[in-house]
Amino acid sequence: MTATFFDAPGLIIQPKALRMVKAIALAQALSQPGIEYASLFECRTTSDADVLVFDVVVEVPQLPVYSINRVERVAAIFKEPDEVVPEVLALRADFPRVPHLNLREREFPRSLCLYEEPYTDLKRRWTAARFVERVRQWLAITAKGTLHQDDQPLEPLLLGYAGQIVLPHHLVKSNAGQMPERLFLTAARTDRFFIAHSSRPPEPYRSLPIAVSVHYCPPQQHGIIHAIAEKEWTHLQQKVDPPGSCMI
Amino acid sequence: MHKLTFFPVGTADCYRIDLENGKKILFDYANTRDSKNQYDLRCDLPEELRKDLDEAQRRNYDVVAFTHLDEDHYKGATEFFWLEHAKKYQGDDRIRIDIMWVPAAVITEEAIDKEEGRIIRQEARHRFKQGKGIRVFSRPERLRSWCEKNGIKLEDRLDLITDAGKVTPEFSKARDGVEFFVHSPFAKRMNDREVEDRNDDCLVLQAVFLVQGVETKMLLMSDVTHEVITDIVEVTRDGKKRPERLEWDIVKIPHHCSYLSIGSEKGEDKTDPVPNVAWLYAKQGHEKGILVSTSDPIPTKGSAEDKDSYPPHREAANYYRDIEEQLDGEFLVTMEHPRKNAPKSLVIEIDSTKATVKKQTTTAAIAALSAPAPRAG
Repeated sequence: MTATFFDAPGLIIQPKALRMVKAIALAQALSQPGIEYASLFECRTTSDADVLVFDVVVEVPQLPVYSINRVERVAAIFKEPDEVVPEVLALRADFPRVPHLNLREREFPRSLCLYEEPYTDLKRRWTAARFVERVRQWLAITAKGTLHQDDQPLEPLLLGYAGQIVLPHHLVKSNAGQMPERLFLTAARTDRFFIAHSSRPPEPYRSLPIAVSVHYCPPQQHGIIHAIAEKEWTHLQQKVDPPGSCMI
Repeated sequence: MHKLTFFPVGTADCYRIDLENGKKILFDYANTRDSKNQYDLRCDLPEELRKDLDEAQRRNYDVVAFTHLDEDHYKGATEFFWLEHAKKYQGDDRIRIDIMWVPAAVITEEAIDKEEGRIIRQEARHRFKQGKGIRVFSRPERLRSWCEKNGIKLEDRLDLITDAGKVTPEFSKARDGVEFFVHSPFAKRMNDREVEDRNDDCLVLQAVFLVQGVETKMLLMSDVTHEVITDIVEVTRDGKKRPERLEWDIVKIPHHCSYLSIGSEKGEDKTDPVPNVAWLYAKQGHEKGILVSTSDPIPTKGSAEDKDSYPPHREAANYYRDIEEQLDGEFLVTMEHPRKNAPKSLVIEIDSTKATVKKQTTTAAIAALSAPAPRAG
């Protein structure tokens, strides 16, 4: 079956018209026989970025956990100044929803979250060959379902992560196995954690002005929102008083 | 995880199975490289094997199988292995074989033209007489005659013999995560003839790997012809009604991609399979199945190699490529992997996602040494 692909951003250009140092280095590396299992497809440019489209051969098992293909087409976007990690987009139109994707305004093409460590640290070791190898490796271990490591936190359920709500064990116990429909929150010592209560907490504790309702859903290991609903988010922010005080 | 390693030794066989529990099984041995020829792309097999044994801090294989006595399946073995039958083949630098697997013909065959083949035969005979360190596959009438001539009762050696249709006792899925089911040789075929035909009498097995409840099946086809495959299919599918014993995720293509393992006519551009061969590949291969040709690169049409009668045959390769496409699989040639001008060992890992062909770059190896593996954010 022939795969269909999204167009990468920008207009097609010749490799010699590339402007960004890393894009030039990657185009040169992909044009030589030195990098195995990868080949340059085309170069593109936008007003603020160089874009390289290339195919990578991936180690895919017979029984993949996620349907990664043996050959995947990706686009790498390099911007100046070189302060953010080059974004990598999977261009296959039916590239699956997998763990460790970056949240973007649009769900497609999907954006691969390649690294955990900050780009300032990565930059020192960045080479075109290592970059291509990381793309191949990311796809290979995604195919096996082992990209997310046991000691890594789960991906956030929603965008706009504001902290974690701690559910004390007696919360469920005192409600005969059921969660109450509404919870009250008090702040923990740090502002990233909140303690849940089934009833309004007594003085001197102050319940925060946050409405928490309880919903029962099937288990979901990783992120549930895959694109920023920008219009809706802006609308919601405008409706609350004071404006911008809304969080999910 | 289990691991298969096919060595680039030209049109010859040598591959190793590394089991998750540390056991090592070697199928055939062919040190074909000409050390005086700097352009010889075939690997230095003893060096490759020793490096792996050193890493595992071992000086032995649990099993070494000689699937039959053609030189491209034993070349150089008498310089590499410790042989029990004569002191001249013993020394500290030699690698020991805990159990030798051979078809019965290796013991009974008289007409072996190469000296090294005769030495391997001698080792097999010695072990069989001693009653240890060997497993013999099938028991044709000729094996009984040989036993009588050598003052042995066949009945005293039955625990060393495994017939077609049985599983070898050395390994089990519960203990080792693998079992080996024997397809060939079968005594009936061997007894039919006056003279052994090595390609007909060679060892054909199905390995079934088990990892976390998931089975991966491999057919180890040695050098069998389409006539033998036809018999195996008739016996297993039609006679014993056990077609699952011919299912495969990985197949070691028989006889280095020879057309004679598919059909009797080479064909113009593609060999047409006889019905049972067609059934074996088209119906019994699992999705994304892997076909491995242990051979030199497939010749291009009209080249000198294309006109050569020896395998690999382009027409046979085209048939296997059809199967590759049909199964969304991979047809791989040991001397073409990853590139014709720089072949390297072909590694296949087996785990709960079944078989994965490793495609490691030189860059990956360097990166692994110089920095910790990156984690996804």
